[in-house]
Amino acid sequence: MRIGNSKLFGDRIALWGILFALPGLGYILLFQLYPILFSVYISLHDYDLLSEPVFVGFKHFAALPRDHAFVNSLWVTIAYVFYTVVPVLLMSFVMAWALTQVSKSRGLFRTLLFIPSVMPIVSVALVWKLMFNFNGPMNDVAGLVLDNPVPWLNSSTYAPIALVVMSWWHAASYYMIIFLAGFLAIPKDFYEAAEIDGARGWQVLRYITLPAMKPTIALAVVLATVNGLKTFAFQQIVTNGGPADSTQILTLLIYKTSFSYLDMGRASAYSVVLFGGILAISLVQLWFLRDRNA
Amino acid sequence: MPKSLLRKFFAYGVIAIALVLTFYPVAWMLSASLKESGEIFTTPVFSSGSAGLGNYVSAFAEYPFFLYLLNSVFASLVSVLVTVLLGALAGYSFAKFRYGLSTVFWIVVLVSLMIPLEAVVIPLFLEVHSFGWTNTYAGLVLPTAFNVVGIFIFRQAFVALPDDYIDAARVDGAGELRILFSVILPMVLPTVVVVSVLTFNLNWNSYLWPLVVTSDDGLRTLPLGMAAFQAGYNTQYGEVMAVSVFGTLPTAVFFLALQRYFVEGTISTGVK
Repeated sequence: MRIGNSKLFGDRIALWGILFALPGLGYILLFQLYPILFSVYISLHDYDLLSEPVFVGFKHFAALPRDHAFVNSLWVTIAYVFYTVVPVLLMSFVMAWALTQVSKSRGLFRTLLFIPSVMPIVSVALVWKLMFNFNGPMNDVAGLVLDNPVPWLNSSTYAPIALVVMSWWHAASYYMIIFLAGFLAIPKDFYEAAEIDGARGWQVLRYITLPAMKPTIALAVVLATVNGLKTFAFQQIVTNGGPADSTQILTLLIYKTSFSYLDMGRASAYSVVLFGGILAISLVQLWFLRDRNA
Repeated sequence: MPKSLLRKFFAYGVIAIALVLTFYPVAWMLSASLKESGEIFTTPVFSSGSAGLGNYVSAFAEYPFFLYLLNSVFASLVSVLVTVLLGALAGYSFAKFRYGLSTVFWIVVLVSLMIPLEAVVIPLFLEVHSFGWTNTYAGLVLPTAFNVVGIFIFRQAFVALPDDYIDAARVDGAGELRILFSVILPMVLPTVVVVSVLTFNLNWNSYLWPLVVTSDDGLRTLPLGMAAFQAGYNTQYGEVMAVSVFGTLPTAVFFLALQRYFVEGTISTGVK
């Protein structure tokens, strides 16, 4: 029972509840809700910071399908997210499973493997940028398969691959931690019951582990997708969107369009699209959360 | 049981491969930071370079990295303070009080979690600009200081506490603020640490907002300073790696000391 309802105290206490929530809510209104509404407002205007905004209706949105920079960026973003999320989740799932099989040194291995996720993102970007240098170690790796060294970051074919590979390295252990928590939350008697029924390795995975992990997997997919859509620093630092815009992810296009070209209206229209995508995915997450609490 | 032995073998194999792949780039960074530019791509990773700490000395002579470090520490600490204070207050409100508006308030919080900085960076910049906060510490720190996830984590911890403690304190005549800060908050200290660690690290890595809101060199945070250094001196690879190592060190120490809380924080953001 909550205290606001208690007969002993009453409405005066409820007022304190409202007071306690207000500072946080005020912050959210000022720095999150107002900006998102303001963003929609700017997207309906031509605005270059120097002169007053001019209302243009849906001009910027209507122009999106023919906007080569935007369409290119949308594909770059979708490809980056897809090729990052799917392998990262597969790798992190297997890594988390492997950790469940180890009892004595699990904590140690978990800590060591978690390091790429906590390493500062700019350090990660700088190291991998050098590793993908034409003379760098990634060409030693490529040399095992290919005849010639690859101009990783100077090629519009290979630069997106390089960014995806470094994102695997950075992100896998984050989802490993989440999957590991999911694995450890599966009640032991599920497995004992399966053993009594004579279930074999793959059957246990198919009929016990995967169904029990479904909510965790769903959450990981949502989190990884949203995090992928929000990626900015890797592309900005390692390739700055190049070569030939092949790594110009949406966040970077928004940044350049607004703060380099001062086309605030168009950049805000891009932002609204990005927000719409993230909102849609987050609503899916919310739906899963409700499912779990019920 | 050969089958379970095979499974163990496979598991250890996965872990061994993951460890090698995890640490190769880290070792490579460390090794390159101790080498002359000419040696980096020509000598093996586990060979000692001839630069000694020279790359560190020259990088620090060129850019004020200790100033950047201080700026980052300051911004992250303010962020922790703001998040613990506002997060605990709001989390307490949602956990232990019932009032007509609480559903509306809760929806506001949920919606705010879906608004990424990346999508509001333009209006936020315009707003902060209208406050006269561009190129100030206030503009650098305050607009992104509050990590709203803190509300969720605190709420969850408070829900688990029995109401009796609060009722007893009220009967004793304690004020509502005092109940929260002297009775309730001390009971969830591990949660305070989890929220602090999570928020500190989030802010420590913050890149887009500092990039947008500051142009003065003196206001740069460590991530910005490191990126700017790389952009300006990109042929001095050894120095760039020295800077990367320097950027990693505080996190490494912080992480090894508090790794349990890092893990808990990660789990509570993912699985609310």
